[in-house]
Amino acid sequence: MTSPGDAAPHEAIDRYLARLRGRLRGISDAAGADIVDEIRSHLLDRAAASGPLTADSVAEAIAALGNPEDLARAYLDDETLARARPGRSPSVVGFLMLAVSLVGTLGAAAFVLCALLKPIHPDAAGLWLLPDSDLELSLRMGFGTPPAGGRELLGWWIIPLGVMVAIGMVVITVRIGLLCTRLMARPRLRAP
Amino acid sequence: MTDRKTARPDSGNDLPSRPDADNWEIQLRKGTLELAVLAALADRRLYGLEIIRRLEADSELVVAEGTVYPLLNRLRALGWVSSEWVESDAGHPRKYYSLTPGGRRRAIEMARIWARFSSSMTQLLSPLMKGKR
Repeated sequence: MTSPGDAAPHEAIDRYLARLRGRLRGISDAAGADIVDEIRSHLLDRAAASGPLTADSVAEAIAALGNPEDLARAYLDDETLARARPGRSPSVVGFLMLAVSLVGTLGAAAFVLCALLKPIHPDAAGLWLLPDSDLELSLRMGFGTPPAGGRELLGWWIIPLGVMVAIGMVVITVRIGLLCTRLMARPRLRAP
Repeated sequence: MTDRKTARPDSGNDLPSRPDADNWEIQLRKGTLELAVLAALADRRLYGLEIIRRLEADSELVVAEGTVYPLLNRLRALGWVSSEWVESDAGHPRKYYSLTPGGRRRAIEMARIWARFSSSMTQLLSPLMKGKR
């Protein structure tokens, strides 16, 4: 039970809480206020457990809780621990990242190889439109024979265009890779 | 509701007399506290001070009060407990914690690991204990 006439115990609690709040750096206003309210509630209950709230009972409750700097540090340490647990399954994002980088780098390598081999096997390297269908394309790197009846689309343009497409694919792959890394590192969103 | 305990010889703030042994004990208590808090909430919701009293009464864990609240904050961030403010007769609201379904699953899993670990340790330690008696 609190005795409204005596302000000193409450002032001691307020001083303690002010020091605590001051040390809770990096914690949002709402979360910080919630922590302070909870510690206030604890100190009031703890001090009033044996009778009226007095300067002595409050001092004892504060001593049992430890100094506010240590308490704040414990909050911040536990906050770091909670953050260290990934909020999103890293395996899903990781698999996506692996798939994208495989497709991106292998695709880029194919275009570069095709551009490099064009001067060596001009008849067999290039981008071919297959005869059976309208849209089926075949990227040939100069091995084997070009598809019968197929039409070569780019000719010597495969060299500059192939290099540009390869660079584009590498840039996009790296962008997606960075995004995935950020997603995996992002802490779990917490309720206030 | 709960009786008062003032004797608190090992509140964690005292300087350890035997640094190595005491540091080991502190780490052991710290690691156990998480499971103990989840277990204390198994039956019903409790507020922080009730959790502390419960741990002191039901186990020999002497709890440094300042470690419980940051731990509860972390357990909530992990989604294992939820909290709600409830008005009380004391004139100020209290923050009650309860286990979430995920927290209950986690606590059961931890209890199983603990039981396995504890029984194999007991076996390993039996020669030491025999010598003591």
